[in-house]
Amino acid sequence: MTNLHELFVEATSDAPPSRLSVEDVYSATRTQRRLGQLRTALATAAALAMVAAGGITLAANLDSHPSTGADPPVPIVWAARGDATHLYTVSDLCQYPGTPTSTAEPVEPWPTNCKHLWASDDGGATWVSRGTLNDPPRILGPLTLLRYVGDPAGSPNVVQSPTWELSTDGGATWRGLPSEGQPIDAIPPGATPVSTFDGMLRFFDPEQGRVRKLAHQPVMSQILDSVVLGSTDIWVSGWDRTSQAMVAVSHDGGATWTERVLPGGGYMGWGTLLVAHDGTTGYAMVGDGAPNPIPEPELPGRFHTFRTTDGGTTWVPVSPVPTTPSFMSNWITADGRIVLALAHDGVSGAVIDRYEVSTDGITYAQASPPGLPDQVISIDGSIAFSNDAVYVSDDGWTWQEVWHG
Amino acid sequence: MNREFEEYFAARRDIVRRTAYLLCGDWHWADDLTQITFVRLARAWSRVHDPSALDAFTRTCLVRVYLSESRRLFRRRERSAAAPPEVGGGDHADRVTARLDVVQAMRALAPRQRATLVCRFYQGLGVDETAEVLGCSTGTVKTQTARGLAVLRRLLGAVVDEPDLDEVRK
Repeated sequence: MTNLHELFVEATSDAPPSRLSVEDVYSATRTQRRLGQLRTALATAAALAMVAAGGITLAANLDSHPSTGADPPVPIVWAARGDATHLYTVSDLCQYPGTPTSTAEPVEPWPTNCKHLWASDDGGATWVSRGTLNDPPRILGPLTLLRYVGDPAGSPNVVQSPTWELSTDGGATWRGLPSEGQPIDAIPPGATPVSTFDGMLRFFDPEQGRVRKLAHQPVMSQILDSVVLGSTDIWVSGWDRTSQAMVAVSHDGGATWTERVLPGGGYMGWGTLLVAHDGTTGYAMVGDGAPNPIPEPELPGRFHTFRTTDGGTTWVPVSPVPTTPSFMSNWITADGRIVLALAHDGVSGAVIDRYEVSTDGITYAQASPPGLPDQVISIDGSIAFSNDAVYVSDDGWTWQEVWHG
Repeated sequence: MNREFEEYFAARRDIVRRTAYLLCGDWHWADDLTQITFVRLARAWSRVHDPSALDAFTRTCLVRVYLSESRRLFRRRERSAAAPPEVGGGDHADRVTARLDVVQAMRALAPRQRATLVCRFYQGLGVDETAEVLGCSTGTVKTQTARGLAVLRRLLGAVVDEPDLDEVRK
């Protein structure tokens, strides 16, 4: 179909039902008339007041204009990249009440509508507000964003039937997605994993435009990380039902799984997968310290690192003793180096200020990726941010500041 | 208020709303534009003496409301980009549903270019009629049409034909 008229007709053929009634039009007409009368009255009163006050300006702003939003406000609390030019950030505009020190102290209401999504389609040069949101969206493509709209504190059925909204215009508009429907045996082409509260593996199915749950789930109590390689490889890390670190790999799109508890387990740590580009070599890193090994001021914890070279069937520790520093986040650079971002407790939370690099997952050396500031709040190998600046990297090593508030 | 107005609303609401959607790319915004358009029509209803001109009046109201709103909300709701947004390619948008493609591609156009293409190729207006709706010269309409079509052809990755206006009007 290439006829433009036919394209236009097709584009409007699935119009959702309109709730606009002629009564709405009448009501709006009456309201406009009343507003017009009110404006006239106020303008008259303002003019009289200015005269009475000897020229003191009295501003009456009846037409409130929306924020122009040339720059995201600070602090930045989240950032993500759709591609080289499409960036997204979330700013948190609220002051949150502290913990009451006694029961006699009045409980301050928790602020709402605090987090604001901002989008840039020119690599961070200019930004536009995309309104408020509860949780950061999942970035599925340069302009395709998915957000969870079910209320986790609401109906217990939410977990069974999470509700989602999709934006295909960079967050400008959203539309509800149809329900999940029947679970699928294997992921469809182009599927993206989606985190949910119940630890189940779900994927966004671009063909059907809906989130789908996988019928055959890896046997885990909690999935912490999932990665899709190519069209059929799914790598998942998490904990088994006895809280031991484990990994599961599927090479057939999720139909069958190879599940492995990491040897010498019992780690109540934080498992993270690093997967090499060829899909057969992977690294799993598991903390050995406290249940949450990050962030500690002295970085006391170590991470055990396991490696597979056969696509997840066997995992062996890279060293008899843990050698991997406790880290906040990790990634692999374009040239294959493993980078760890190390954190310490700052005044208002963890800050990342050190980096260690390894070529074999065994020995690490401190290094300074060029272009990063002294401290950032979050970094994932592609995008990093501080309270008031955003940085991007195309190779996981060299960084460039693209926005500063 | 007026039974004739109510009949006209019932007959034209959906086509006005669809036209609004093509202009703005957002059904919620389209509802707003449709309501504003009919409110203006309601206020002018008693002054409309030529029933055959109602559609033209409504169309002009809608396009001008949209252009006015798009200027006011320009930075909040969208940004007309120097480099058009990526449509197709690696994004999932093109696969979610094909009909979103043309709407998304329209977003790459400036509001007046969108309005020009919608008037000409959805409403089936000639160059003169489109110029009247937009309040511009016929030369501007031709230029906006050519530029808008060029962008759509590039973004949609296909040959986009100019439809026969006689066919559109049927």
